[in-house]
Amino acid sequence: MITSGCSFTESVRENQEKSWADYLAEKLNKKLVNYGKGGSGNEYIYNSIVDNLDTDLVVVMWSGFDRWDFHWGSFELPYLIEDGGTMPRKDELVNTSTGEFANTYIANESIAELSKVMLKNNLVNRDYQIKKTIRWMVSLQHICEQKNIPLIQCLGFLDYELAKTCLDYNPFYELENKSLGWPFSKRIGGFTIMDKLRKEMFVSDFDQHPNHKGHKYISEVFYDEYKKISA
Amino acid sequence: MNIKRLVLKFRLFVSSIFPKKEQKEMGFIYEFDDERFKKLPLDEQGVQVQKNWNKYMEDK
Repeated sequence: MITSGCSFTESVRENQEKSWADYLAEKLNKKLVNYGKGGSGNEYIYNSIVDNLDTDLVVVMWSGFDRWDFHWGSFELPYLIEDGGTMPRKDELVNTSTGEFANTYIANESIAELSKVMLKNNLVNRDYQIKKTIRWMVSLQHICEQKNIPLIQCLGFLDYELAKTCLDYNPFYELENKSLGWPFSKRIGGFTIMDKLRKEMFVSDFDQHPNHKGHKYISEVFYDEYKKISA
Repeated sequence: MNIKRLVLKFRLFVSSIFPKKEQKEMGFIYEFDDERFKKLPLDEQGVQVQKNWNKYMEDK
């Protein structure tokens, strides 16, 4: 089986050697290749799966809509929109090749410059970003159906505006009954993985990545879904 | 599909009238004012450095 996602899938935290992908593979007694990479955006996630579809099960936890992946260094430019178009949050600039934070940014002022240029020229749009991920989800679903490979996909967390954007976006409805948690937003009856996690399943109050309990729980959520689609 | 769309729109409408305290933009939200931040590994503490950099640039 293959899996992909961001740091929720890679499990980059200290004393956490295993992620939900490892626990799930153990439950299913399958050989695992986990392409999850801390800091990655959804373009990386899509590419990592589509490029490696020689498998019998695909499980994907998509990342934030506002991340950007580049071929060089694989940086991302997340949360541009949330900053009101003034300043990229450099603390969120992550090198997806290594999953490292901090020092990477200091060495890459050009990323901040790029962010500013994108914002100045109105190249960043929330609706566009959300639809882009939905498009990748639908595309992956179609590819897996064509290849007859079982696919479980869900959102790790959510853009609060997703519901408003997606309800008039036709491809969104292709994910109904085929994506875990659809329609994803709690406001309209869906859920994300974050919604499933309880307080004790986070690393801490200020680091809301899943801890080992969280990863085990996530693997159970996916395992239940696997049993459903296998029935 | 149209019925589903209407149902979801109705739910969205209701949620906007009776908003619940929802986890907004959760995922990679860190609160570095927390004293426990000091217990983080050095590379994670570096994130705080970047926040300070942002503040510096904004003030500038």
